[in-house]
Amino acid sequence: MSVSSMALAQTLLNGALLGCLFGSIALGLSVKWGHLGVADFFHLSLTLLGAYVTYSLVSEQLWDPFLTLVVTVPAFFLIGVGVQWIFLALKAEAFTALLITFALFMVTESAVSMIWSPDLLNLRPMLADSFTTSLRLPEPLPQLAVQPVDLLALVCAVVMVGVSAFALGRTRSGRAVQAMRQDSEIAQTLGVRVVPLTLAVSGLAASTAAVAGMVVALRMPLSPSLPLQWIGAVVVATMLGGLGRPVGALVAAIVVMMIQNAWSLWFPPQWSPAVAFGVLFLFLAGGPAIRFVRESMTARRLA
Amino acid sequence: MSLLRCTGVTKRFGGVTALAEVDLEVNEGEIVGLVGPNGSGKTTLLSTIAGSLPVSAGTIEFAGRDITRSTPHHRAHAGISRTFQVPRPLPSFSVEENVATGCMFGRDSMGRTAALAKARTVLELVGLGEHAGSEVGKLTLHERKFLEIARAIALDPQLILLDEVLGGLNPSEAALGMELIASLRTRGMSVIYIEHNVRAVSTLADRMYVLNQGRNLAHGLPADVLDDPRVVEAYLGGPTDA
Amino acid sequence: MFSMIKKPAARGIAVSACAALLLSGCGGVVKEDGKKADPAADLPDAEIVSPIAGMECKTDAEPTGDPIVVGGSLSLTGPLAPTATLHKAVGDLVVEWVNDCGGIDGRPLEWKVLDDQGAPATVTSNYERLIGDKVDFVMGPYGGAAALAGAGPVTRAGYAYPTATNGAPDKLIGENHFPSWHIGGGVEDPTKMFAAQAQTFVDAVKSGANPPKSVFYATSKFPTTLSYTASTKPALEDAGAKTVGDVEYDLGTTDFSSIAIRIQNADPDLVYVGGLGADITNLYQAFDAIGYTPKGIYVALPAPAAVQGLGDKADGLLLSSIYENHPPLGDTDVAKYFAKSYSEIAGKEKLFPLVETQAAAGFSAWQILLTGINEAGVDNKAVIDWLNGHDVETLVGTANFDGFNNYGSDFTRVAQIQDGKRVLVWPEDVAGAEIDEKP
Ligand SMILES: Nc1ncnc2c1ncn2[C@@H]1O[C@H](COP(=O)(O)OP(=O)(O)OP(=O)(O)O)[C@@H](O)[C@H]1O
Ligand SMILES: [Mg+2]
Repeated sequence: MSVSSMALAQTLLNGALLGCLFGSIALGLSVKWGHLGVADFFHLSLTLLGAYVTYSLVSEQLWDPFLTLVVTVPAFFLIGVGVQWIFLALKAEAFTALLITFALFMVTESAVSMIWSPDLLNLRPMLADSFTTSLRLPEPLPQLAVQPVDLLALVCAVVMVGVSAFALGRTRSGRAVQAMRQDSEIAQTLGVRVVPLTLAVSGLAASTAAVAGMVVALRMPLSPSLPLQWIGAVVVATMLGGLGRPVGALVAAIVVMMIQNAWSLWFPPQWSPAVAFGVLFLFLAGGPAIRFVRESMTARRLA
Repeated sequence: MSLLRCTGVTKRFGGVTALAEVDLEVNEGEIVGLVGPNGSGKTTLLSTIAGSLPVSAGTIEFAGRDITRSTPHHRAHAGISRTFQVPRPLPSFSVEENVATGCMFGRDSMGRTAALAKARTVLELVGLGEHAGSEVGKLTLHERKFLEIARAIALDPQLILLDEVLGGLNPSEAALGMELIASLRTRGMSVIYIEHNVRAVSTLADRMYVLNQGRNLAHGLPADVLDDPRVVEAYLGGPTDA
Repeated sequence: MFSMIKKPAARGIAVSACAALLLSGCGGVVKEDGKKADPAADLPDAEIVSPIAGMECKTDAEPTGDPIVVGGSLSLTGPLAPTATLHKAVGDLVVEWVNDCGGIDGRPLEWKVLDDQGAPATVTSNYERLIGDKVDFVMGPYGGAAALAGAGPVTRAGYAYPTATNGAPDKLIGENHFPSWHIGGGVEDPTKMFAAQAQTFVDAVKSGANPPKSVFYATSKFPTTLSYTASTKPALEDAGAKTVGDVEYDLGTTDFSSIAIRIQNADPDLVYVGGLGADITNLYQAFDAIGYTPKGIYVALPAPAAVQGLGDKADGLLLSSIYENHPPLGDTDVAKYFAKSYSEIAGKEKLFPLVETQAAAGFSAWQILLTGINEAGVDNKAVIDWLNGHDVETLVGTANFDGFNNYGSDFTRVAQIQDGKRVLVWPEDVAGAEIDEKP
């Protein structure tokens, strides 16, 4: 099948923008995994929950979607704090924590289908045409289309990732988080209040799920099993980007989705979910392979 | 005036009693030496004072307040800082970031920029000025030990706990270290200073304590302690520099 | 320290809020008339009548005596729950209806449902349990795999097995099988099962002013949809419609952007989507993203709520159907009473409120069972014999059980969304309107 360069450009653009959404989700996962040592699958459920709450507030209370953040962001902060508090109270090991988040992941799916029905919910028909109609990029670019909601995803991703990266790298609290991640005991002897800091990080990570959830509600129809569809791309992006690195997670999500989309343009689309894992595999296998080649070349040179 | 007072401090690890009813007191402006054979409980005592380990029994008072149950970061804020026998720098931070972390969260907390500036003066003080931007992995053992001291100083403590900071250094490095420790007093700090080398301790310390198998063996002026027959016995009757 | 972390985050929220305001400034995000219109709002009131032919509705008689118990298994939780919940609602409705009419032969009807969570093994054990509990009759579960899983114990115990859904209609169940959704048109060769629906579809598109000359196929990897596409593609090609693209995608795919771009690239007269559930919503989302409007589009098994959710964009969309709520099929007293009571219970369960394929098939399966009981008594063997020898009037048409696997005449029809409403457009005898094909 011949594919025009225009179609390719459009595919890559779509992939990049969807990658922004997945990057926003991966952000929280990456921060919690990298800095608190918890691979928190519940974060995906929180994103879904954020989407459903947004849906209800918009469709039933007729709130502006952005106004919902006033409710969801603080509420999710508290949920994030609560979950982490449970881990601390139970003195949960990484594996126990993983099991707990997985259990919460399953429970949320059932709870969501009970509260909102397992049926498909779609906010789109309620959105103004100006928000659902695609925009054409200006003339020099070959007439590519973007959806306003994707631009919103882009803005949210860049702002959240930017703020997180800045906070982690440049602020006092960010340094405390990094110190804690490297050696919690040392951080404590240096005066870092590990417990409140851990709770705050978990709370803030959960807050990002509220924002990502709002974008999800505006972007796609909701069903309780959505997180299962995100999990591949999000986990791969988290790992590829380097645990605990916000910018890495976003860039990786964008790259993975671009590759995945471009793949489906030429190859059977049903394989595209596997592409993300393929990229991760190449990345994981590629490192040692390159090292091996380099070492054997040096060895030969020395011999 | 008494700054730190440990009374009947006991620490058990399962069946092992690492400390049994140990008493120790440090006065303001004092350098106290803490010696004892391997495994006598010196590091453990230090950890209970810094809060890294909870005590099994006994009390610890600092500046007139009971801190027995305080968290390590509370004690850091109250003015206690420590080093580790095996240096434990934060591996992905640069040398100055390691020290700045102590400045930021220590006794008087400060912003990152101020902390970095202060970290540089502390590094100058311990002679690591030119390594400020280096990765910690590139440091030699003696530089790591001095980084450990610098990071403890960075908290601006009233009491600094030094765990064998001079062990494994060559004589000229050790001399530099002794000078540095002596200077801490002039900066308003009291010091507990663990050392294997009893001679080295005796030249620096105002008073010293000897632990043996987790118990107080002797304490007093260095000259008196070194003459104590029990101390000589504990070090197998051998020369005092074990 | 708390405040130090929060500050940048707060700043971030402020920035997003500004961006949001900017966006809202250019026209707002939510429509002024945000609330959804209720598609069931203008259903006429209806009088209660007997749900089946040959029975009288005695609203003043309380049913008495031992209940006639019908056991069933449905995936009330799990991935199949959206549609299974609908079948549960239909069953509840029928039981209440029958009892409001004085029961069957004066005895009350009772329905006992176990949750199988969509797991075939659980379906099997649920029916074993129900039969062990000596239920009088059984009703089939939801989903093709579940129907097959239940067939074993049900057939062995000699029970009649009415079913409403056919994920795998070519798998033989037997003479005790009474499907309400007839696929196959009485064929004897299971490999030709889907030929009749394909022919219906081809006839439907040919009946319009502008039959498609090029078709792009996008099919979900799901047994039924694969079978639909596999039989429809050659039939359309024979009718002169060139295949300009053919892709398959995984069940549950949500990102259709590459498929949409392929379709845009090929720009066919008809997009044939062998999809189910929410696929159509996600595909339209992807069309929107690239600003593409398909010339014509057909979807095999979309969720009614998904089609409803497309709003105006769905106009002209074709879909497979066995029933839509309009004359002639929807004009009977039974259909009207069912439509009204169903919209009430569906409203409570947050289901799509109009009767369409699934609800109609579910109800028809109950009609088949109840007719059998009413005619032959509370005895499975007698009911099986009676049903095999007679036609049954159901909501979706006259059912007979003559062909392979007891399938009678094919019930697959073609519906279209016209002016926001679902109407059957083919075959002519049940159609409410003519097919509308844009040039
Ligand atoms: N975490 C622990 N778990 C169990 N036992 C421990 C632990 N830490 C120390 N011990 C034991 O407590 C005793 C005292 O150890 P400690 O490290 O305090 O001795 P030390 O005087 O510092 O010795 P060294 O001169 O070798 O540094 C030893 O018997 C040691 O094995
Ligand atoms: Mg020690």
